[in-house]
Amino acid sequence: MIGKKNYRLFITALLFLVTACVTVNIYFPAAEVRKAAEDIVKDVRQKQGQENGQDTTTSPTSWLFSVSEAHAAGELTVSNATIRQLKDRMKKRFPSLAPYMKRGLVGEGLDGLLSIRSLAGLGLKQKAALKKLVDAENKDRMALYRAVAQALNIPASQISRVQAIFAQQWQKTAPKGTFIEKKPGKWVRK
Amino acid sequence: MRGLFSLLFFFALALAMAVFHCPCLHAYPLDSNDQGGLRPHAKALWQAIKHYPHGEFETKQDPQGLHVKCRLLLKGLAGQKDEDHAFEDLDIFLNLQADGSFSPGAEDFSWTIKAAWPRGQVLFFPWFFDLSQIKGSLKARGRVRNGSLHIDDLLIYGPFTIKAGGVHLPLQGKSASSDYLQRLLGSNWQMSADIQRAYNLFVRDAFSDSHPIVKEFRPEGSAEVRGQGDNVFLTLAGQLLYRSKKFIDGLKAVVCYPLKKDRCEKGYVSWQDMFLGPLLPKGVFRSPEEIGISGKKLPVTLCHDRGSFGPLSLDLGNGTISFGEASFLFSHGTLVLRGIKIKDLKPHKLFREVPLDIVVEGNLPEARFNGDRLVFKGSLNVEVAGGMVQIKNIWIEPYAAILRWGADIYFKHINLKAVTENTSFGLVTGAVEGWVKGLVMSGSQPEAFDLLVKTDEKASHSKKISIKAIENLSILGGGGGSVSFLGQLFKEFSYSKIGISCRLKNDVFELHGLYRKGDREYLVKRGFFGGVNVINMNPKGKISFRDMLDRLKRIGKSSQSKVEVR
Repeated sequence: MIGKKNYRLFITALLFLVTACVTVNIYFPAAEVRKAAEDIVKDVRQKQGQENGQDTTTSPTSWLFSVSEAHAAGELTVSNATIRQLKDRMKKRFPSLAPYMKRGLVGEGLDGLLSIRSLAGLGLKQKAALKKLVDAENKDRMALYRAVAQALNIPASQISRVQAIFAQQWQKTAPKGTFIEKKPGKWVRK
Repeated sequence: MRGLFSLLFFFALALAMAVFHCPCLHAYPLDSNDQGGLRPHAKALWQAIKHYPHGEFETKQDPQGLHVKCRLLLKGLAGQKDEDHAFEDLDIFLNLQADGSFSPGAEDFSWTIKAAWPRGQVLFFPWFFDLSQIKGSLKARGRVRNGSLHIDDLLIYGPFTIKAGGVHLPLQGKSASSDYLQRLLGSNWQMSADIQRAYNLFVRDAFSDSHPIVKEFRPEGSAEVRGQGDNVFLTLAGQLLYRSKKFIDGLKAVVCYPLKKDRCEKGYVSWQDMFLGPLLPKGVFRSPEEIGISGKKLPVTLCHDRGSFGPLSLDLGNGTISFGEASFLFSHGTLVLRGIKIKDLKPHKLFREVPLDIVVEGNLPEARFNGDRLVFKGSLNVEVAGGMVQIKNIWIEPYAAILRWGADIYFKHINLKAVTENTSFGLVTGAVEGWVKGLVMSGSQPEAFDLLVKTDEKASHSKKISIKAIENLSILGGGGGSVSFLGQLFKEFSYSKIGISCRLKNDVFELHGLYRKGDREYLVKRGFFGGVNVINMNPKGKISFRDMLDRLKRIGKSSQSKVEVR
């Protein structure tokens, strides 16, 4: 017969062993994500023509294997064809988004996504256009975060951490006048 | 779909509901605050009416009941349900008449309504409508009795024409919007539309930002959707253009959707001619005008919660592609393809840039979604250059932000002479085998792969390599591409083995020769009695995507290489 005290000791030891067995250390490559975020965001927000004179024309080598040279220009720590193409789309979209950001209509959230802060002063047609623009940008951003996570072998459950790191860079490089989410729900104008 | 129907009936319902709670029926004056019982859309309109009343009304009481006439001109209306649903600058001419008893709880009156909206903007995200471009009007008559709204006739003109009758909707109690939709669909109604106009309004303008490809399509013709009994019929006739060029001609669709859960209905989609030319860039097809699929009929079966189409066999002139059935569940958006077969497909006769004779056979018994990825079972077998290529584990992510697809490719007995003799790479003889594992393509760009090419020892071909090919291999391996003066005296050299591996990951290529001696890594190894070695000059390093592009560009241009000749 095991005594009550011994029984407790046995259970505690068993629990310790079990938890020791199931402890899983998930490595999150924060430094790599941060570097990727810096490079990608810088490239997206860089003004046209500020690309060290690199050729921005697309020159497909053949229809089977068309590769844009401009895409290959920025050599990042994390990059692949999907990331390059998404980056290119966001770069083209940014000049359309920037005026809305400067006017304080669109803000940079803590989740690395754009958020419409206000639609004041916009006609219904402009509202629709802005919403579509923000939706398209957020869709591309989420695809970008998934692609970066995939490239760095980060599990899907950790995507929110990738988003948070990217959010810092988006906020840092946002145009003056943009609303920035400093803390959850707390927005300040840059 | 639900959003679309909600949109169609948004105005009709809002107007109708507003009319039945019109202040002229219950209380004077127009600015009464009595809004009890109004539904949200009607409340929005009510607010608007309250602030912009311009009109006249008259009432008359006689033994048959109360007779009401109300004429309103509502100008510059604005309202908002939420950020996604709003209207502004809306002008509405409203003319309504009601006769009968309006006693609360025992309403029994007939009504007629005429309305027109010559101006305004409506947002029903992602749809936006400028009503000045799509002026519309509505005529309806019916009755309110026993707590139900009866619509005997409804006629709406706008971007499409809707005719309906025999609609019964409960006005009391709580009913889900799906119940209303079910009742509306179950009545006798008919909607006809110009396909191009409807496509532009509901598809192109709303989704071209997120899916730019929708801008490339232009359907033309007419469509009619008809509700009859427990079925909704769609009849469509027209043509489909892609980048302003005819893609499908003589398109016809006759399908039927059953509203009852336990039934399925058969229909078809047919066309006279399908031209594949416009789908790919100019110059890709050998003779675009000849690439066509004619006179086909695709059976379609629609059930309440699922649909399927097939079988279909497409004769491309140089090969056949067929599939047994494609089925999808509406609720999950899942698609399953069965029985995909490719027979005797000859891409070299279809495409201009295919320099080799290629014959493709394939059997893909099933394709099913695994998450966002449509995964194909089975394989494609390709006969090319005297060898065989097998393509397995094919997948595609059709809904990804950038379309991605991938496969594993294995090849053997590939005759290098056949591959290289008509290219700028330079002549190489011999045979190779190998694989491309984990190929991932993003759009038309390679994202990842693991390539291995090595001499196929089983094949008995002479093994020679030309100066030009040596130069180009040398460039790939990081060399300067210069052949010594001694080497220039020969046109070709013998070799013993070719062995190259190349991996692409995160925009970095890792290129290696398979044969090592000391710290040297050979892409091409000479034989015992002489020949040529091509050495990988960068055996430990990695090549950036851009650098590899530069090397590929230099291939074919160079006339020099650095090689060992003995």
